[in-house]
Amino acid sequence: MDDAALIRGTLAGRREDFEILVERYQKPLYGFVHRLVRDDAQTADIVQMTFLHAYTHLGQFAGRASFKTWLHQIAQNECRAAHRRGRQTVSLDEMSEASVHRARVDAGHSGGTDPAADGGPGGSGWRPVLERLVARLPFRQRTVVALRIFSDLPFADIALATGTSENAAKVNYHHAITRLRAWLREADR
Amino acid sequence: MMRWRCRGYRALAVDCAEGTLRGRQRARLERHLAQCPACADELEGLRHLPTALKTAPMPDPGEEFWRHQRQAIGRAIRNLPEPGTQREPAWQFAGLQRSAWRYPLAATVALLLAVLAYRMTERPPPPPAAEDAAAAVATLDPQSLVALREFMESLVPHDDSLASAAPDDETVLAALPVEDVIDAGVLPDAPQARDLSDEELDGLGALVGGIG
Repeated sequence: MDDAALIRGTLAGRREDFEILVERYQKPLYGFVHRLVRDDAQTADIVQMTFLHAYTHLGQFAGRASFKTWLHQIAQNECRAAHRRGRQTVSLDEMSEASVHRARVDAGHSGGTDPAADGGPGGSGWRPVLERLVARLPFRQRTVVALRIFSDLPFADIALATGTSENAAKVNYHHAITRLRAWLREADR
Repeated sequence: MMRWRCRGYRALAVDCAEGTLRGRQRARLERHLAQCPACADELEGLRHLPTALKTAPMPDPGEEFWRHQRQAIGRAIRNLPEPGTQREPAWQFAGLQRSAWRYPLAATVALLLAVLAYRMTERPPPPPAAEDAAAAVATLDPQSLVALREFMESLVPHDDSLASAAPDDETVLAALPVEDVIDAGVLPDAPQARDLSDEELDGLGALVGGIG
């Protein structure tokens, strides 16, 4: 059953239809939120609040974007509120030089190494390092990166979710990736 | 340092890295990349870094967590009112949530309210001053002046009407000589004949030519 049918069912009073939507989007939403707040307990709370907000305001869902995009928009607002309450940044000093080097190699800075070949399953943990660098990005850039890369939303939907234009979303994404590379280079000096 | 001439190529570079840039836009970007090593380098990053990030595993707290969270959400929504029973704001019914007309409409309503408030507190215009009336008369042609004069005269009572007018007693008495008032016997302080002594009556009779 597609999202639209489940939404109609929920609005008609079938709460079990909404539980199917929860099961469908619970994991990707958790992944998105976790990349923004980087805290297990806070992530769980925000995901739960996102679904409750979505349920109570389901009548206002106009269908201009997908339900997935709408959920991400709500989650992003919750994350922004949490972000205002307590900023979290990660220092490059917290990461081992070796881990940063692996991340840098993976990002194609050393002779165009294939990232997949260097950082495959069982690697030495470069992915968490790269993710922690993402956590250093300004909130808006981090959000765009998480929506595009981890939640796989097209830029048109990212624009809707973040309340910007599609072009602005792309420019933010460009800034974020360029900044990540600059940090990797800085850490490699 | 900000490369101002490169600003217009950033969104194009993102599209190029994602493989969605075609045609003239792609040719335009390629011309720029041929003479801008910095942008070419950034494009490499846009191609490789997202790929590296995408291979990062999703955070997974475990099946127990997922099940527990679904149950918690399920319990919570059973204690909430059904979403369809919630009343939406009127502006959402009107489709104004993201409408481009939302702000102009709000501004127009505010302006109308301001005009209405001004009209409600506005005082009636003052009566025209005398000089205004004189100025208005001066603009009349002779024929209109004659008509106006006749009209004004018609407002003034004729002598007959003056005669028939019955002025009040106090006005008439105030206009009479004191003696007449005494004769009329209406002046309270006027002595009456019966109140006078014989000497006074004699003196008075001599004065007026004998009444006794």
